[in-house]
Amino acid sequence: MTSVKQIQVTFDCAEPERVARFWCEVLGYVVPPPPEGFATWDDFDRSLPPEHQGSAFACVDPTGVGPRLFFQRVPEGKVVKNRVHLCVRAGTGLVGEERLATLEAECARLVALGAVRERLLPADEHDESTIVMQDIEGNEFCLD
Amino acid sequence: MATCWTLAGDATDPQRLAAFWKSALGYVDEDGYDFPDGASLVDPDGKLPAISFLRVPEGKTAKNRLHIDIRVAESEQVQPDADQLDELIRAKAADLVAAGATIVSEGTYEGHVMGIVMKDPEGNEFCVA
Repeated sequence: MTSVKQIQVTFDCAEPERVARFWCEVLGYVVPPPPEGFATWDDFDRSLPPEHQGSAFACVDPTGVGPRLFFQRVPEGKVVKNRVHLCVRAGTGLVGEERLATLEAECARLVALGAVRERLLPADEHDESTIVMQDIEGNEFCLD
Repeated sequence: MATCWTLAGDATDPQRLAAFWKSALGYVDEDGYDFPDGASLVDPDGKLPAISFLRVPEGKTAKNRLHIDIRVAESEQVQPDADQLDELIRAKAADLVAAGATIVSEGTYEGHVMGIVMKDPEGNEFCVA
């Protein structure tokens, strides 16, 4: 099978722009420029039929390295734990107390943005420490 | 610089899901990762995010609120024309069915395929577009 050069991750949301802007702050992503002919995304949004206004938003890695994240409005709410989640690699290469301190500092920054700290998974024989968190619509993610 | 992120998925059979996604994306096993209850896959070109699967006791009960979109175009900047894109999307979906995926629905617009919604061997939704 031909190998894939691009992927994207799509989030189902109640409020796509709000969740997209949260993830921009988490990852250092940015909102891409609006389509040609529109000064802002708000202007573009107002050009859409009412039922499509506010229905989707995206954010991208300004360095072009990480895949795009796409956020789409869905009518239903979240009912169970997601079976797919993002791992935010804030502690790569760090171990022990230094790692924990880095993760806790990043956790505090994300909680201030509206994220929820679920629990700490301490280091064991297989894995280094990880903090399980939720974004502003309850999507689980790992800080590791 | 943006923060690096990877993807993790719950699995009933991590090795089976890993085999499917390796084939789907052209990924390979992460060197040195040897854990019976999990699998970790990486892009051999080192560009796309790593993906891991971990065994969980519970099965899937609802539609995932996060899913992977497989993009058949080489890049955002170089987009094939609409007819080529149709062909690429349909060919990729057919390959994925042969690898164990199922087709859920096909979205079209003005006669062209916008995207095909599919499920992996454990029912995780994903799109080919």
